[in-house]
Amino acid sequence: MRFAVTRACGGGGGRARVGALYIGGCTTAPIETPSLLISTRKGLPTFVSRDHLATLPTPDSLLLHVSPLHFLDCPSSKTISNIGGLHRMLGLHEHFFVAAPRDSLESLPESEGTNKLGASFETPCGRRLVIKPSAYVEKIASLKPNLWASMADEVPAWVSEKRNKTSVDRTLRWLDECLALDPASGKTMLGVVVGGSNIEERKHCAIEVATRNVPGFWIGGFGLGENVEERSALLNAVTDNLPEEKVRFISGLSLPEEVLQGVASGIDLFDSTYIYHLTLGGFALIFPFKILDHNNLDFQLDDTVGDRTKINLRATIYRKDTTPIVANCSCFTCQNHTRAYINHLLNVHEMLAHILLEIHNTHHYLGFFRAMREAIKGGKFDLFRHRFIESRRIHLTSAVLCS
Amino acid sequence: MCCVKQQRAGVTPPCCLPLPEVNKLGSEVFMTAEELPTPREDAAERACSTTYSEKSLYHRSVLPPTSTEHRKYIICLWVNFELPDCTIKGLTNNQLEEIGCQIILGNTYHLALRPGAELIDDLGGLHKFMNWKRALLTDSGGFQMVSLLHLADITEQGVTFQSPVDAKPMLLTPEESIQIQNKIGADIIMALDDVVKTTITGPRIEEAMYRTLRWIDRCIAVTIFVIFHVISWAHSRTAHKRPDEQNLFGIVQGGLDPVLRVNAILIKAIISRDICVRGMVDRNLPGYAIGGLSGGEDKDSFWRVVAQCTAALPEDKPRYVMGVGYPLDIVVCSALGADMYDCVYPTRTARFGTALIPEGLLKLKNQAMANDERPIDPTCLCMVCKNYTRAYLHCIVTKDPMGSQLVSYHNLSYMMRLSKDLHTSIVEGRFPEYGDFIFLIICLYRVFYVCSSLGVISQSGFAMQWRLLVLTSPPAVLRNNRGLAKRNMIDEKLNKTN
Repeated sequence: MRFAVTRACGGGGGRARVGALYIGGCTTAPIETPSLLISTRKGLPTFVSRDHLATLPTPDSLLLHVSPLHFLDCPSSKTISNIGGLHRMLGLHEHFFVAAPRDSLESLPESEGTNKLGASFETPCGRRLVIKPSAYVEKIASLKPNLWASMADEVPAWVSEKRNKTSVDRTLRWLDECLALDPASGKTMLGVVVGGSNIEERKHCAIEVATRNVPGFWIGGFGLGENVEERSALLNAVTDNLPEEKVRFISGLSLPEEVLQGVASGIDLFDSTYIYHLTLGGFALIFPFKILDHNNLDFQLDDTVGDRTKINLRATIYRKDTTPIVANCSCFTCQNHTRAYINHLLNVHEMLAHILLEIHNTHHYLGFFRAMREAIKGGKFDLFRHRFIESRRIHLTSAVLCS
Repeated sequence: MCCVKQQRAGVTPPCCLPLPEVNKLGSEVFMTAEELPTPREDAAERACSTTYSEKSLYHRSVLPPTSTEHRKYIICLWVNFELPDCTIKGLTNNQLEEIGCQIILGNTYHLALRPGAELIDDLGGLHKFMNWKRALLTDSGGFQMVSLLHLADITEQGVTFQSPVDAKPMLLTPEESIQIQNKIGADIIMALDDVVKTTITGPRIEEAMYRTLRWIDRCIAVTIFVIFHVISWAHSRTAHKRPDEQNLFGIVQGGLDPVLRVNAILIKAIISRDICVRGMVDRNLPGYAIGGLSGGEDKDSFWRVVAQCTAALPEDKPRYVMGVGYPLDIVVCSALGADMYDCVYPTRTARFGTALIPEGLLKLKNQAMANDERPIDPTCLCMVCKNYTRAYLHCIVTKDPMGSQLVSYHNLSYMMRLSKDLHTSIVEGRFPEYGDFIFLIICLYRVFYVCSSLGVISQSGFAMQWRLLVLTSPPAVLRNNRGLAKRNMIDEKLNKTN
């Protein structure tokens, strides 16, 4: 794995940047950042099987997030090593797996249960458990992901200063433990930065982690109840103290606005639960990418069931709608099926609806990241961000006025 | 009408003449790999299917007693079921095409309920609605008289169902059923039949049988009229409006012999089937279905009924055994001369964590699978077997949506491979002769049921009965060249478990 920043100072006060992630041996074309880590459940996207994963745009869709905690019960570490690691077990030989314990869906950090021995999580099998660094590294060794984050004690924003300080200390200690335990001595390890909602702790943690010999960083502790207005300052405090040339991952920022906020602070990769939540709710993303081409923000309220970024396909107005979700979209869903069909599938609770929606939403969200990269390259990131947020806001205002 | 259909399938019509060589449903469905048309050509050919040709060459294992020629027969065809809601659960259309599904089944009752026949018609038919370019079959809704009996009220006029969605009554008459199926626009449509639970006895069976005959007349009476006199005003009065596009299949009903020892009932049952079969044959339909089976009857009665019907049905028409889906049943029915089957079994059992393999069933939830690094079936070439191990599937089946998707994919591939194997073994003359098979069937079913009643499931998660099938049967399920290797493998496993 090699990372290089190709275009910096694109916006966001000079922090937004475009990078290239060269994933050794997998493919020749680099993956451009900012990009999305597709969230998975036991290594595979919730509904999209490997043959449909291949229809998504490459190389963007090659990045997958995996949580080692999903494999705690089974298969055993020995079986996974015998099969030959994640790539072989999942039949995704070309893909690039980034492992981190938290998946923001099922494996959530449980700060009250965490003690000095290990971090506590809610697991998919419904129980809380404390996982020690040694057990974690052993699981990682069998899974063989391309990159993995060290263990972290993530705390929500409302904990006391003292607890927050402890979490930073523990995370740093576990980082060193993981480094010592890792047979590859941290070649594929990401150092975790925590610090809750305290700017000083964030800075301290970032400076400390930056001194370790790791190829990249995983910024944890976001999306856990912190104030959105304060978030930019916190993010900047972290990214300002991390070396420019290393890759930065973040967990917990998933809405488009949050992603834009993260990119403005110089984050490269996002794990996103947005697609999953949209898909389960029957929503399809429809927002236009080329918002920079339109000079006027003349948004009309053309339908009553969307907010201009997504539509609710359960709505009755799509019952006889024979158009694809997004005209000109090249994804499998839009090429083959109509809104009416998906509306019907949702009405009768068929799994195929979710399969089709997840394909489309992933495809569309990857497109959003691509548009964002183009904007940074063209030096128009701030305008892009402004337009995108404004278009949603205008819609919401007019919706309120109409009602 | 022909042209309309071709445009619907997205193909420019080369000509509007019917193509007698390809219009037989069965041969279209099960051609060997090199003959297999591409989906688009297939659609064009399908669109041209109008009548059944005299020259049809059915591959069946059963030589009809009157036949003097030495032809080898059977078509074996697997109709995928589970389409009540316009989808094979958990699989996308291109995956189905990849597996090799040529025809899938929808259900009139469920489709009429949601999304509604009007809507499907407005959007251009079911093919277009679900973007399925191959063949479709719709069942008449008769089966719901059994499955939703508590919501149904059956009279001579038709069936009144109470809608499970909004509790409104919905009258399904034979004419109504055909009209709905016309709107849905499947390639094969079924006549409404009066289905009774197979396990009941008495005069109700006879009533159902005669009613089925009366209802089929209501379905087809005007259809024949249209074929011979294409008069536009008649169209509005016909029950079956698209006889040149859609093939109406009649369903043979009647009881079975529930208690073999009670001769009187047995004779009555056999006679009632016979009357129904004769009645159907007299009506000269494009194809025939054998209904009222697979509702919990014992297998001895089951195969006898299938044998009785296939013997009486015309040789040049497809024969479709409804609701049959266990692999063993398909082997048996094919031996008895049936051509088409449908069942939810492969996908439903997949969602409950059971995979189908040549040796039988593989219960993926079994603890023995937790550390098994082999694919589901090492001899299978499907996407799932090439990529995933039993150990991985063990931890996702019944928990994650992906688990049902992957195992359903495998199970359907298995069913398609089984039908293909049956087909080739018959074409190549490797299928056992009829006389031998009757004996074999009895043996197989006996072994099967003794084992299942004992609940013999070995440590490794295999169900024993299928292993015995492999050991005892001629290699109908297996390709010849692999038989020996498999037998060795199984012997090894038996030794291990011992």
